[in-house]
Amino acid sequence: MVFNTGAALLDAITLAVVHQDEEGTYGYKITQEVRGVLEVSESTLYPVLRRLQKNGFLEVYDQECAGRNRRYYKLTEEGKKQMAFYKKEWKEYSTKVSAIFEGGNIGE
Amino acid sequence: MNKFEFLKQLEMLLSDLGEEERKEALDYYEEYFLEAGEGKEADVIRELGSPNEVAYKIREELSDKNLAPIEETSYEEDNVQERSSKKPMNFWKIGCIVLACIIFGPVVIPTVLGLLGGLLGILVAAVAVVLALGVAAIAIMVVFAIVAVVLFVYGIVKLVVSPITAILLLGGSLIALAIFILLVFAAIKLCVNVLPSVWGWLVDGVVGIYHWGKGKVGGYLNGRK
Repeated sequence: MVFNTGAALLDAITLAVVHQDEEGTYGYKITQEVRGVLEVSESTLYPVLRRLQKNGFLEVYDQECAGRNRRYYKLTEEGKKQMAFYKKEWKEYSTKVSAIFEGGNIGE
Repeated sequence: MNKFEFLKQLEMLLSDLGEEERKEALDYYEEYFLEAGEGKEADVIRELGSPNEVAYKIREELSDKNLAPIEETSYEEDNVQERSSKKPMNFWKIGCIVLACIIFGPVVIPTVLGLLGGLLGILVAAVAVVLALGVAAIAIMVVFAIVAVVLFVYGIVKLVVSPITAILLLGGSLIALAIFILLVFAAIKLCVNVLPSVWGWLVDGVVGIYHWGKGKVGGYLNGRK
């Protein structure tokens, strides 16, 4: 992507990816899915997840899977509120950007 | 480098981070390698970058100032160093200076200008008084000299017609001449003895003010070092 990726957008997308599964999801999968949307290094995601967890937006729990431990991330209530906030902000932002981009095409 | 070497190096690089943070990070990356699968080890290491980079990002992200991100910051590597604590420091410093200027400016600037103006005024007045006295003294001397000359000439002219008047006039001329000579001597004495000391006071005063100011500035500069 040619556009800069800000911390807020990365946070928002990470929360959205985690929220896709009601039961939560694990680090590797989150990384792959976020990387499907944003061009970020694989090493970027862990610090973001850890920070979101420390801020109280994400909670973790461990689950046995194929004979080993897997750490799941899940949105807290606080995280859901934050997610809603980001969605609202993004809608406003993208609507404005789209209006500018597509405004010139109305006549066509 | 294999996954064990990678994790070992990462552990070492995070050794100052505290037991909990280090363990969390290492557990995460260990799990990450496992999730990627046996064959993907090299790919994962290439994607993650060096353990140094991974450690740097963890450290950067988890420092206290980032726990509640408010500012929009870029994840591009070259922008990372912009997240320093310099900004608020500069902001407060400049704010304080501006505030001080706004509050004290209207008081300090006119006061300083007033004091300087006052000093200049005293200096000019002193010089003017000295000059005026000098001019007045010279004028009086000149008047006496003219009187002496006029009375002398008039006396000579009257000598034949009215000798008594002439003697009176010549006597007056001599008195005026005497006063003139007395004044000249007094003026010379004044110029030689009194004026140099007045001049000395003036010079001392100006030099004193200059040194006082310089001493202040010098002390300020030395204090800063």
